[in-house]
Parts: sequence; structure tokens; C-alpha cells
Amino acid sequence: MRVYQAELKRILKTRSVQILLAAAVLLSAVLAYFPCTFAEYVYEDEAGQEVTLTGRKAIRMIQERQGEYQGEITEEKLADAVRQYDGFASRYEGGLPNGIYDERVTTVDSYRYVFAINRLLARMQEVNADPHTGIAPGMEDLTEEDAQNFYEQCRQHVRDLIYLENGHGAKVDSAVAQAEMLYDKVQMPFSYYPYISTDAIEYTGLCVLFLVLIGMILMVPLFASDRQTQADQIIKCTKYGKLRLASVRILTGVTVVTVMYAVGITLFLLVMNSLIGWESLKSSVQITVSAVVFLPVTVGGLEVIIAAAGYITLIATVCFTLFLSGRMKSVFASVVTAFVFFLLPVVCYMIFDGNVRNWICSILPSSGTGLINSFTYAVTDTKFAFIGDQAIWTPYLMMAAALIEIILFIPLTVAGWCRKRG
Amino acid sequence: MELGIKGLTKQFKDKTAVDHVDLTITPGVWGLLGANGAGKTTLMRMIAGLSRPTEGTVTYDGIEIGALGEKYRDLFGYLPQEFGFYPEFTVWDYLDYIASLKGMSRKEAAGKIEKLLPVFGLSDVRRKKITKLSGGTKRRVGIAQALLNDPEVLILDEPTSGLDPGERVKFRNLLSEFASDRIVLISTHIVSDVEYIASRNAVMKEGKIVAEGTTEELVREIKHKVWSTVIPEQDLHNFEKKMRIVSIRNEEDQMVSVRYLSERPVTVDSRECEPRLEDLYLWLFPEEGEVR
Repeated sequence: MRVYQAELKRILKTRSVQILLAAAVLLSAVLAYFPCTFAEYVYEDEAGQEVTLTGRKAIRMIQERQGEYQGEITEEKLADAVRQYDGFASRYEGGLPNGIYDERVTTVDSYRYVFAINRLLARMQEVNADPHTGIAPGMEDLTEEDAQNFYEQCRQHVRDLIYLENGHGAKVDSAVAQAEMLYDKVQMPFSYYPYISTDAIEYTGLCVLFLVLIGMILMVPLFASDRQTQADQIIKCTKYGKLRLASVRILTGVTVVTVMYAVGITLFLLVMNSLIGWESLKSSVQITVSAVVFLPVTVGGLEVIIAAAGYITLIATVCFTLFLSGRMKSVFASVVTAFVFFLLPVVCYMIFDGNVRNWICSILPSSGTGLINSFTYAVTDTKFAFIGDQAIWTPYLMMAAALIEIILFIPLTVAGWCRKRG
Repeated sequence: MELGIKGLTKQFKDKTAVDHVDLTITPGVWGLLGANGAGKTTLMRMIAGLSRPTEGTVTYDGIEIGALGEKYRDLFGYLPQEFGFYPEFTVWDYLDYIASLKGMSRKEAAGKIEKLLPVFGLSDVRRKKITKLSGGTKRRVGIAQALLNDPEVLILDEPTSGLDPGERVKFRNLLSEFASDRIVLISTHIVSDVEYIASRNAVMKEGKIVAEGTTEELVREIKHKVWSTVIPEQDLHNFEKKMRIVSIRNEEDQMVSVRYLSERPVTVDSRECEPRLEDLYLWLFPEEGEVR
């Protein structure tokens, strides 16, 4: 405990650590503000003037005007939505073959008649996509029958999409079976409570990315700076300067990043959800993001899962960074190597394709976070990594790899520190 | 209490830094003398368990130090030649941090630090950041940390570099008291540091121990080889070319008194001097181009 306290004091007294911790808190609060700023609502006031609301005002207006199309999204509500859209489209000569993007449709009218039902119609379009081409029908092609079959079609679409993306065969059957097993637990009918959008989910992932990045930078010098300044010469000759210090240092590092992450992500979720409305968290992910998301959770549940997965990714990245820090002779070399590995999943995502990409981009320590490749995207996607006839859903693979890396790199870091040098 | 070094060798690619060193170090102050690059630091790093020997063993009371592990480090104090501090730490913070790594409780550490600070003249800078201290003061902090746990084995690599003459004398006296029932090994090329306090010396050259014994035993090797003479100042240049000069002192009437090393006297009025450790050092480590 004494060594732990001394080490904690040493880390927290470091100026760069103090700055980075403050930056993590500040960044979390700033990022949390953005999702609500994307909300927009256009209406006509009593004087006939077009008024554009943004941010919190827009959210309040959207919540007010959502009407019957919230709460449980039953087949009847979906059918109403289809009828409402058909009624709206029939006001235009020849209908609206290009949907609301038709030049005759004014912004005010699209908000007045379509905005509240748009998300429901989009999900219906999605699940009624052609199983062979993946092309979704237009809104005007949706029928009340489609609405009645919506939930049945959701399940079918999950199968169709996985086969479309991966072809056929035993391994794909295995993927479909896994997806269906999860999808069976999805609560139906779906729920929808405005205002919630994919922005909130993507920004949760973005916040995780920044917190993991800061955590990594915090940990880079933990061992390497001692080697660089030769402070280790004295430390390693002390009673607890080898095995115990290395173990305690890892524990202290993990403590610091855990507290940073907990404060950062909690602050982020508190601020963001307060701005967009807590009730919206009860919305089904299948309505908010995509009808084929396997996870049987609400948006609030998904936020928690992303935050938890982010923490596992953070610890895996930290353990790997500490391993590098223990091996490198200078902080600069550690920083460069840590950054290369941090960015590697993104680079691999761009270079590789198919199954190889799914594997590589899932098993690296920082695979769970990134701008184009992350747990956040994987958990709302239908990607599988295949080995033989077996399929592993990539979010599972990401988390399993991260847990293995945590277990692997802790002893390797300790061994690296205790190793005698030349 | 005995530190046994047997066949200790360290090979770095094409250079043998330490070459089959055998030494049995018993309680008392030991001086490890040698020119820069003689292998002193490498030897000390292996004794400290920081560097893995290519061959040979280091034992403490017959047990290999690697096997002793934590137990060995618990009775060990080490001041390396070069070392770093944590920039945000004050003198007190640093000593307390090291004390925690030495397994000392907070109370125990505070008591010991309070004792050591005045000994090393660090009381006034206890709350100062180490980075703001002078080189000599940093060195004193380094020595203080090595003594925190009252080590049975104390290894000091160039401990007095950066200390002023007063501090050096204080430090030597402190070590003499401290070493009565402990092993203290001091590596230095400042011979006077160990001359008065070392009970035994080991002299290293090109990775090997070339001489070992008490100061008296060692200087016996150059008995009848240390001379002094007085020569005209104008002859000094030629004299320097031919002889290994230990010291020069100006005298009256443009004459200089010269202490030199030679197998036999080179002037008629040369008189034999009592040899000192410094003379031996210069005898063993002639500067390049110097005549022996």
C-alpha cells in the first residue's frame, strides 16, 4: 500500500499528467455538447415566416411535434405512417418518385408532414430491401402490408443481409444462427422517443476514442522515462524496485486511467443525455440506428455497452503501452511506437479487405476504438470474422482479444522491467 | 559478511569490459581505482544486479545475489555514476519515494530523512525541487538515498564528483564511521577520496584487477620509484617530456620543485619520497605518450 501511495503521488505530481487529466475532463464536456447542436427543426410561424430552430430549442419542438409516432412502434403506427406519407405524396402531381427531395417539396412541408414519420419509414425501407441486391424500395413503394409484416421482415432481413454480405456456406450459416439467437431477444415492437440520433452514439464512441488516446499518452512515459533519465538505476536496486514496483506501477497506471475514464465518460453521458433528453434513451437501437442491430438493447443500454467496451479497450491499450514503455529506452521511441499501434487498426482497415480485415481490425489492442473502425460501429453492424466453419461476431472478437491482451501484457511488462540490461 | 566475486566477465560485442574478475570484499571501505573505461562502472552494475554477467557470479555470504533477490536489495545501497530524478519531486518527496521502495514505513522514513538531511547539508533545500539544485547538491541527495536503509553493502560510483573539498572531507568521515561493520565499495578516479579511508583497494585496468591490497601494500610496489628534485624553470619542459610528473611547485629564484616517478633518480640531487596511492595510480595509468 505504501509503494502504491508513493507511486500514485509520483504520477499525479507530474505536470503532464495533470494537464492530460484536465484535458480529458474538459474534452468530455465539450464533446457531450455537440450531438444536441445537430438537431434542427423548421416550421412556419403565425406570420407565415419560415423559422429554423437548432440545438435544444429544436429538440423541444421535435419532442412536442412527434405526436402519436413515439412510444411503442406498433404495426398500426407504421401503417398510419405509410398512409400519412401516401396522403402527403398524393398532393403532388405524379406523386413523389424522389421522396421528400423532390424540388416541389418545401422544407416546411417536409418537416410538417414527414419529419415525425421519416425514421419509421426509413426502417421499413431498410428491411424491405431486395435480398439479392440490397437496394431498398422508395418511400412511395411502401405499403400497409409492409407495415403489418414489418417485425417479421426485420428478422428475415437480418438473414438476407448476412448472406448478401458473406455469401452462403456452413460458416455463414453459423453467423446467421448467432445473429438470430441474439435478435430473438430484441424487444418488439420497437420503441422510439425523440430526440435521439446516431450522432449521440457516434459521439459516445468518439469520446471513448479521445479518452483511450489520452490514457495511452498518460501511460507512455511510465517506465520509459525512468530508463531515459536513468532514474531506474537507483530504483531497481531497492528492495521493492523490481517485481513489486512494476506490478504496483501497472496498478497505479490502471487506477489513474480508470478514474479518468470513469469521470470523463460519466460526465460525457450526463451532459449529452441531459441535453438530448433522458427519455430518448428508452428508444430501441433498431429504430435509432438500424433494424438489423442484433443487440437486444435500448439506446441507453447501448451507451453503457459502448462505455464498458471502451473501458476494456482502454485497459488493453494501456497494458500494451506499458509493455512498450518498459521495453523502450526513450519516451520518444515509446510515443512513436504506441501511436503506430494505436493507428494500426485504422490503417489496416483501409489496406485490407474481407475476412482478413475483420480479423486484423479486431484483434489489435486499440481495435475497439477508432474513427472508422471501432466497437461502436462493429456492435451496430453485421460483420463476422470467420475461421473454418465458425463465425465470430467482430464485437465479441474485439473484446475477447482485448481481455487476452490485458492478461498477456501485464506479466510481459513486469518481466520487461525486471529484465537486466546489457 | 562477504561479497564474493568469481570469474566475473562482461562482454559487449567486441569489447571485454570486465575480464574474469575475482575479488572477495569484506567489511570496511574498499576503493575501486581505475582510469575512465577501466570497467569499474560495469563491475559495479553487475554487483548491483543491474547488468547480467556474461560469465561468473556475485555472491553475498555464499549465496548468488540473483537467488537472494529482494533480500539482497534490502541490505543494499547504490549510488550510480549517472542517474535521474523526477522533475516534480522535492528533495523530501524523492527521499520519501525511495524510502517507500526500500520497504520503510512513512514514520521510519521521516525519521531517517530528518537525520540524513543535515548530514548532507540538505536541510535548507528539503522543499526545493531537485531539478533546481546544483550538480553537487543533487549528488548529495543521491548519496543520502543510498544510505536511507542503513545498507550492509553500499556501492558508490564516483560519489564525490561535483562535491566541494569541504563536502568531500565530511563525506569521507561519514563513510569511515558508517563502514565499521559494513561493506562499502567506492569507485573513483579521485585517489585522495579513498587514500585515507579505504581499508583495502582494488585497481582495475582494461577490465582486470591488476592490484589488490591495503594502501600500504599497494604503494609498496612503487617504493624507490618516487622522487623529488628542484630544477630550473626553463628545464621543466624537457623534464616533463622525459619523466612522469606527479606534481610541480614553484620555488624561489625561478626554480621548481618536481615530484616524479622513475625507476632511478635522474638528477644528482633527487631524493626519494614516501610513495602515495596517487603515485601508484599514475604509475599504473600512464597518460598516452608518456614515458614510463
